[in-house]
Amino acid sequence: MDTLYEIKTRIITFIEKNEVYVKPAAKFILLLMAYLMVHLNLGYYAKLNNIFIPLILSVGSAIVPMGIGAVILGLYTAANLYGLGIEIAGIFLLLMLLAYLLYFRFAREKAYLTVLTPVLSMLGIPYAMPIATGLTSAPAASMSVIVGMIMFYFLKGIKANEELLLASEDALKTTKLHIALEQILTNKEMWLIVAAFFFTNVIVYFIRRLAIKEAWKIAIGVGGVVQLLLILIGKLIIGNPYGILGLILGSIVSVLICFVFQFMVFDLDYQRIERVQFEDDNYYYYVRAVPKVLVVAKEKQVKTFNETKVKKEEEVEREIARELDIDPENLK
Amino acid sequence: MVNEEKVRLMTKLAVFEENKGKKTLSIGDYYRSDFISKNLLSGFIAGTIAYFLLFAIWALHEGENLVQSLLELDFGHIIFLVIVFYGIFMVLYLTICYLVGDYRYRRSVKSLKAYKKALKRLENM
Repeated sequence: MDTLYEIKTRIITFIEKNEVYVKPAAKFILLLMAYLMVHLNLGYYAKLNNIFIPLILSVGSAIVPMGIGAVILGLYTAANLYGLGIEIAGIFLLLMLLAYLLYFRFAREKAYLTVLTPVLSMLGIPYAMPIATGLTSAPAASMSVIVGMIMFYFLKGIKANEELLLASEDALKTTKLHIALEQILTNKEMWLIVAAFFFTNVIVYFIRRLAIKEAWKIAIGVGGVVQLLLILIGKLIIGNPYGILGLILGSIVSVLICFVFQFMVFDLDYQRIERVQFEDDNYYYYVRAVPKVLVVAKEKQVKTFNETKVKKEEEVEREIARELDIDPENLK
Repeated sequence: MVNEEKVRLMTKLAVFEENKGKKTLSIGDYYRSDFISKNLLSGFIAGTIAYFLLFAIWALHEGENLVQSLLELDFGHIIFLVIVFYGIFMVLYLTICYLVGDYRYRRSVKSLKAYKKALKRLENM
């Protein structure tokens, strides 16, 4: 267990120290996966069918705030859907606008959850999302996951009907429109998942707030089981017993992921290095404030007393002292 | 001579201003009633657009049925239903806008109080 904690501390220290690079890199990887999934599955618009476009767009989206990044991703998806017909792209844009008006006006910073949900759905583990958001946010955050799921099912439905949509080139416009709307309005499985995710999120949220031992772990376990049961029973009721093996496997993997996630974020007092400038009557100050954990974590590494380790430790201390511009003795 | 304690306090204040403080300080410019009214007004516009978009989706999906029922039923009756649902939707939506606005204002007032206290302490140093 100690080794695990040490690894955790090291990872967190690394993130804190290199936040400037880690954050955009994480954003880039998430967006790249999303762009590639759109490119590979929904590349209907010939003019956009070039691998460099998603690559460039994911780099661009990684450096702007996540809310704007998600909008760019949405527009790229809509442009691809335009290849199937203007109605499909139009309905997708309408959904985006609705999501903004009803939810993202209040919580723009949660847009990354909406991008992450379809990506995990493609990997078969969307079940981790309601549990993880229940652990870290208020139940309102489940809306981000729900929006992501609705988008995912809409796009999945469009993909499933692609032949029909491509063939009905000369058919009446209402047919395409009808197919697009059917994917959301009469998709029982989608509404089942949406309801199950919402309940799971609320249950996890309330259990982890209880004043009991290991509340977080119990929340994950109960959340995982309740979610699985809700979806299983729901599937039987709506008469769609397909994909149950995937559901069970996905749920197990999701719960395991959530346990790792819980280990990483529980009791985490995340602070980053701050660089600020200010002045008073006499001085200009250029301050670099380093979180104490960064220093303490290094000190904690002293475990065995052999010469090389101690030497290494001294080197580390000297390095920190140099960075902080203080006397190394102060760290002893 | 640099006053260490002063630097520490100033650093904390500067970190707050750079991060959380940006939003908090801008909310602090408003009176509570003004801030919530502003939220409700933008909520009214956003809610109205959202309602008619939802209505459009429903109407497009219903298509033929809707035309049929428009012919069979009293036109006034349908308009009446649209308005009633609009009313229910807006009451729900504006309640959420009010609660969010109220919560944000209370929270920023709390941190503003602490911020002003720290400023005062700095002044007296």
